[in-house]
Amino acid sequence: MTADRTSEPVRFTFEGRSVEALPGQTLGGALHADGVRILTRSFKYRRPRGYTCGYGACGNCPLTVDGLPGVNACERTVEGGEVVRRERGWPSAGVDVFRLADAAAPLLTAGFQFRLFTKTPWLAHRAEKVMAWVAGAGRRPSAEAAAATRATSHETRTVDVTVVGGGLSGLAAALGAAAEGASVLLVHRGVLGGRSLGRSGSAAGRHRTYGSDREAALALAADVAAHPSIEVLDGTAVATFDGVDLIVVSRRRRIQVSAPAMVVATGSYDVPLSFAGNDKPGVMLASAVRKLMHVERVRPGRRAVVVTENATGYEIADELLAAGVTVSAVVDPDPSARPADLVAALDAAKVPVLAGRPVRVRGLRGARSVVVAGGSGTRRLRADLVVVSRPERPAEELRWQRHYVEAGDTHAPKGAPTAHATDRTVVVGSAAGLPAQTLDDARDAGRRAARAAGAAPRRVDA
Amino acid sequence: MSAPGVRAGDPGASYDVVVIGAGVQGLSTAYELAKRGVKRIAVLDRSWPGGGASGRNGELIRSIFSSPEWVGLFDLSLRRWHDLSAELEMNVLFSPSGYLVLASTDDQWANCERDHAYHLSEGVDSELLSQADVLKLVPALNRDVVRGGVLQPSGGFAHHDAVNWAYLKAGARRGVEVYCDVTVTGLTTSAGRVTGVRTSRGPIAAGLVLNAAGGHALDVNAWAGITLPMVTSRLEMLVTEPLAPFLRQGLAALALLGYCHQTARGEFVGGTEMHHVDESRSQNSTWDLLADMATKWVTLFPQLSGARLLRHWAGTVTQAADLAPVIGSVPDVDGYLMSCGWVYGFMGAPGASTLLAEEIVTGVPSPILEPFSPRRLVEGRLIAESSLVVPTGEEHP
Repeated sequence: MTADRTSEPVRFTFEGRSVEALPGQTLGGALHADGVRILTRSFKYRRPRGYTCGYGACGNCPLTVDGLPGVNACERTVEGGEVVRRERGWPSAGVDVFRLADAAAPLLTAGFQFRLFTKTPWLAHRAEKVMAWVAGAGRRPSAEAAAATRATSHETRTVDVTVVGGGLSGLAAALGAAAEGASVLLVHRGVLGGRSLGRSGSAAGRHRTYGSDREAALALAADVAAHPSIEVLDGTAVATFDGVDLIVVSRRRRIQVSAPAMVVATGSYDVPLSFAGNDKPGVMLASAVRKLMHVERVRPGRRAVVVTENATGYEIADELLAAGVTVSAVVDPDPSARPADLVAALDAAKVPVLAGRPVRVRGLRGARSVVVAGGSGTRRLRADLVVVSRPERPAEELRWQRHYVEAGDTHAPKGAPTAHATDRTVVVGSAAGLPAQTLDDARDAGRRAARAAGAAPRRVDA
Repeated sequence: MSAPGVRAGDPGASYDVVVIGAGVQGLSTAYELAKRGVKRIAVLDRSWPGGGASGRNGELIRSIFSSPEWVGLFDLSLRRWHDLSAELEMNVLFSPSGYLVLASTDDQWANCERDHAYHLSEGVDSELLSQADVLKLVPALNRDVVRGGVLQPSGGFAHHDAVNWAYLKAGARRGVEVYCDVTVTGLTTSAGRVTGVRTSRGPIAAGLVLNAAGGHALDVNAWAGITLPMVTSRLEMLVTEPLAPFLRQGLAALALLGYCHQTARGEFVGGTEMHHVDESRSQNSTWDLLADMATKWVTLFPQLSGARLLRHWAGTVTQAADLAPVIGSVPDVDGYLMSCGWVYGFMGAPGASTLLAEEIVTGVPSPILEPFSPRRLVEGRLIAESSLVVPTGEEHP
């Protein structure tokens, strides 16, 4: 599936008013373009939360869509006609009186409930009822929404190799396995290419033929779509279980997959940085900002500060400038460790590079400024967008599940997950850790998986 | 792995009591021993405190069983639950919001009537509820599966992690030494007497060794040369994302082989079982049981349809054919006690640990624990308890 950009904009209803979405845009992208910054509230302190990670990992954007709660705004492509509302907050997520809990935070520290009322059990029981009411999640699907989630088809599928994740590496691995003669099932949620679609550059040496990761992803996605022995499922890989290789949910289809070999191409997570106010709307992780700019076609903010611990932050600063965003500064604990040409390019654009770190983001309903500590004391920079760019962390949950199932035990072994890769489970791309593998590596890994699965050499049947 | 109350470094060379397993049985017994003045106690665990079934159970608490043996032990335990937060100086989030045993068939209803009469005769807190009473108490239930039930208003549930932490910390305050990442690999014996344990960090001498190893208890018994008719089996549960409150009580549904409750925060927590015992040592969850749980819980509470799952987990227990705990010593093996075979171990721990510690310190056998002695398995005397929701290997009606 690729985003169709030739069709007309569509509209949906957000809390009673009509909002426009560009073709292929997600709810998250469309709402950001519309100026909606608060998408939900945190569970306990009711702090405002907004678009943060862009890929359904952070939990800061669940919306109720057509009566179904917990739909990630950043992942749900607008089809038109949806009725959308926010979930937490009273009377609304926009204005929540329980935000006062945040002011009482010193009294409500983590685990406060275990220290309250230990000597007065009846009071503890009463307090529990109050907490249940305030926490008031109450996110139950409407009867219609529940009926619409019920599976209408239960299928089984047997293939040689299943590839989980259709980012750049997953695509390359699927093509490698197919080239070895394997039948391949590629499971990916959303548009093939994943985060690569938001990368207008490329990590050095990953591939030579393509101009950028985005171009590479589009080319490989086209190859995959055209390949006769690769089936692409737009859905969620739920889990691997004892005795069941993989369960996939694709809209109303439940598919039980049997595959001798699995390629884990689940990618990686952006890692947040710890500073006061790092959860405020407007503080975004690197991939989210790139997705807003390059996939959603939305200007992510008006004035940005980029907080970075790697070269990516400098690239993003450049991309922000090109998107018409004012960049107040790039803040880096160690600018001297970054490639000189990147630093020089920002210099030429008159973007100051500050050696330092963020201390606090200010703003009641979202970022308005960021306080930075550096060599010459602290300074306050105006910004409605604070980009955090750091080395990523592998998305290794599925890899571990496979390990436990293969080992028949959940007693965790020590060490990096790649060290436990077996022939039946091959980890590729950033899921295997940084630096990212080359596309040739991923393709070879796909071939290995095909051989481990005992795939017959390709033959052409009439 | 560090947790409050867990010691860094290596255990010492010798203790009065070595407890194998830092689950709720081991931690509570160690605490009760320390409370009674036992000085040198070590609890050893191969992973982390509560990492096995003690952190993977349904958190439910009741004493409305059908047999004098079960009622005797679990009613004492229920009374302990009501004072536990105050005694351990930590709110374990014990929620005495009631425990409902739900009957769906006429046969189950007849059992409820009989059990209720027995509860009254024993002075156990119990109420008999008609179909209308049950539906009034829990309107969210599907009336088609409600025939009636027995309610214990003083029963309920607690937060299992909090209970493990509370025992851990209360024990540590009294000098109990808990060591994690220490794997016991064998027992040392001398002239028919267990004299200590062999571990991944060297041998440790012990005046008394307590097997509280949960799903690994059979290994430890085997090192002591003890073979009892018990198996290791796997149980599974699921947790949904938080939902608006619809279930205040703990609930056991006999017809579904299921048990569930809803946390204060709104998560629905429930486990079901199939008609066969899943003999496995794996803590990996299975698709078949996930499907079984989802189907049954949506049947019982139609409004759960469409709810999203937050977690799904599996844990292991060691069980005898009567599903009753196996507590005490075996003939001809001195210096060795067991507190294993627990399937209802979370709710039973506060009571059993109190009695076991008392027995160890005074040397006087507890009449409440006596029926649960390992001897019963050797002699083939099983406890008949009919209000359990776990499969006994036979098809339920």
